Amino acid sequence: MDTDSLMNELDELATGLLILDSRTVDVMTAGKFLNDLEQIIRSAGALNLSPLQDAARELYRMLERVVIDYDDIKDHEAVFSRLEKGIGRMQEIARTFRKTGEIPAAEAGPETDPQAGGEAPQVKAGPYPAEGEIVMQDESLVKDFIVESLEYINEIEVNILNLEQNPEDKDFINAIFRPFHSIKGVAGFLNLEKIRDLAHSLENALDRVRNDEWPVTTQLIDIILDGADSLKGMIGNLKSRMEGSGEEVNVDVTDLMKRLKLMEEDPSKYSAAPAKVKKIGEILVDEGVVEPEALEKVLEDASRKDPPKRVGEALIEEGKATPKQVSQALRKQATQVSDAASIRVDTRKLDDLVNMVGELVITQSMIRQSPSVQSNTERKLFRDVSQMTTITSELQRISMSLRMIPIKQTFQRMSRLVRDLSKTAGKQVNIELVGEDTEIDRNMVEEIYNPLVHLIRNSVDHGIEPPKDRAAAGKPEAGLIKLKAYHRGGHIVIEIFDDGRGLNREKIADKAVKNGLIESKEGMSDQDVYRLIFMPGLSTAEKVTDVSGRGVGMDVVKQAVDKLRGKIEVESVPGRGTTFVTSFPLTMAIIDGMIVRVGQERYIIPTTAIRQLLRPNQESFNSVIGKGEVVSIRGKLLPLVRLYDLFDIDPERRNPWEAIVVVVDGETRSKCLLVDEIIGKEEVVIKGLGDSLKTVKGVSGGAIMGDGSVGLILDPEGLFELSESRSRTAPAM
Amino acid sequence: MIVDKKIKILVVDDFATMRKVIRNLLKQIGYDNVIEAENGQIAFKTLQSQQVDFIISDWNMPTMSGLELLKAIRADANLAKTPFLMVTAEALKENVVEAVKAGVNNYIVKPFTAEVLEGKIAKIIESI
Repeated sequence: MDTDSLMNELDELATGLLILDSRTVDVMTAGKFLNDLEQIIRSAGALNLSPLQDAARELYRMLERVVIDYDDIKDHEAVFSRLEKGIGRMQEIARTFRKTGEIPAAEAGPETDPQAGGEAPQVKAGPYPAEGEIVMQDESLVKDFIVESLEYINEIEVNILNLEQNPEDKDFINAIFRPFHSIKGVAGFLNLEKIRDLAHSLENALDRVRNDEWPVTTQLIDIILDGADSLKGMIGNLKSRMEGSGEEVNVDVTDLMKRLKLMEEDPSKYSAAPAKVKKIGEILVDEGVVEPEALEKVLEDASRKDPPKRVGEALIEEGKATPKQVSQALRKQATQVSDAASIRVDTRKLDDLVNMVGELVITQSMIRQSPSVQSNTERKLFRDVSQMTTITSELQRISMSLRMIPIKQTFQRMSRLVRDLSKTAGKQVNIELVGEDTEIDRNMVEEIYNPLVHLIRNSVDHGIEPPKDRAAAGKPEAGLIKLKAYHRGGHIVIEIFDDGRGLNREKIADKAVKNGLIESKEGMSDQDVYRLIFMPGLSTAEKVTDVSGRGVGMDVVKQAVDKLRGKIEVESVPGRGTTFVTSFPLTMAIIDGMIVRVGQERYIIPTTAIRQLLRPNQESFNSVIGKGEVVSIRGKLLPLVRLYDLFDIDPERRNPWEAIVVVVDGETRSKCLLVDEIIGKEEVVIKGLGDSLKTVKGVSGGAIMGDGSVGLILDPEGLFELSESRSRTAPAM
Repeated sequence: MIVDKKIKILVVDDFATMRKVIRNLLKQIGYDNVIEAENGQIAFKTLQSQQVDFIISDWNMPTMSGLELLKAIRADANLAKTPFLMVTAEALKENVVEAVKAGVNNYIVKPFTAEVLEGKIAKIIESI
């Protein structure tokens, strides 16, 4: 570095000032000057010209303030003249130095008030210059804000749990910070002061975490979670106010603010949450590449070597894993956080797409089955049609998969729930999630939420024992709840396991006898007894608690699961724990149905509702006075429902012993449907019947069959009600 | 000075409601030709395919932040001169120096009124 180039840099700076139209430095020019000054500070440093460097630094600091407070600067002239003077002074120092080689004394510095410390002149202080002037209560904007914010808050909940596991990960902090930041921003525009202030406080806290001022502690995570809850409450209130429903909850944030303040006073007092990043070895074990024992041995050997080897390397050397497997594991470790590129699409558009593809599939199948195509001998047409069939079915598969989302978010919400519940119940519960990436239809996610919540509540409240009891039973004090999801034949299976006390066979059986559900417990298998908990009117909880004591029993869960055409089973080992195994169809858009014929009409009965198909013999059919027609099936008398009567059509057969009887389950009871013939089983795409036919009882929808004809999907419960109301008005024949 | 209200403005923000807020404000002051992008990356792609006269971008966005977008634009010979107004928050105002050094034309602090926005846009257009 020589003096000449420094002189050049200074001259350039001076020219930059000279060519300004007015004596006003705008933001962009300030930016250019800042870069120039930075260069000058470096050059002056290289030449040991400290007075010049100081002068440049001072101008730099002043410009920084100018930029930051730009909107509040009244006197741009003053900024300009200070720059002018400062640059002149620097040029003078440089000239003297070049001529004499002397560095001018520091006390002859630029004429600025040292007290000012580079402060911009005449800055009007004050937050939000435009506060109070913003009036933009556009209703649709507020609505958008509500929807989008709530969506964002759900994201916060997921990400904060991730953060708890990986406290060092800045991406997670940012992912939590951003929604608060965005919510605050919009709330500011919409004059939603309370929401803005709360989001602002939380944002501030996270900013400190991001800048490594605060550690990630359980206290902090609780504060953020509670803050997110309060925000949700406030936004919920806003929603109620807009809808005029008047349902508002009281959101009090004074305690939260107090805790934030405590954090501020002494953030380090709280211990940091343990870091948990999955190690390479763990990933490889999870993937089944390496045996746990082998990993342990390799780890031991590797740590003894000097310098210690990396696990992946050691595993490859030992021949326990291939380089490819290790690099895949490494990639997996790295991408634990990064999400795939995605776009947001209105679900209605997706629904429309799926619908249209459904139509396409049907049309395609109609073309394929049309006689003129069938009888055609042209080979090209034949080939083209089969090609079209392949493409449409692939298209259908893809369009269905568009609505599929991983169950992760639901699981994360559950683990949040477990946290909250166990705290209230004074129990320690760890949660383990397996198969979070298992996918499920977006529309199903909401539906399965409530039954799952109830099962979790049940496990925390009744399953897991208090720490004292656990210790006495020789179990670890902290209980374990495991959520597991996987696909099995068109269904998603969700298992909820707790390692608690297990179901009490005697208690359930006694209660069931007492309530008249069963006559005696003799000869019942454990399974049968456990299954009784799904019957209405059986709850063995002795103490009503905040958690489960809401008058809702397992029977309600069963009903909710049934409604979704799902299944629920329970397995239990006394003292070891209980597992609820639920399974739900992957989508509500397709139904697995039994196609039956009555006269010329065809109907679809959901297979989940079907218990049995049979042709009864004449003796098992009876007409009971006051009860109507019944069929005796395995010693039980079940009412007979003649479908043709309900739908007023001409059947082929009227005698049950000549026709077919389908035993179907309603919500609480089973009945026999009389049909002419069983045609077969088929997966059909459900179509709504439109608003005008929505109130029709006994039919839940329609479906277009492979040959293009329409079949109605029967709703057993509705049919039962229909037949009961008929039999009240007209006696059975 | 009369500002051409037909200029095409690209609004970049990951929060859809925020984009709508800015769009509404722009409408109030007569700018109707507005397109949107939900992060820097998408914005940059948009800029490759269509002529944009003015960019209003949020700072903190996933995938590609406003600052990264600004730097990418200034480094691109075809786009370098595009006026860029950065939207920032009061709490993060200290960071604007970074954007200013990267060549932002001006910045605006949330929340702002239509008038303030109008002034900022007019001033930037005036200066170029």
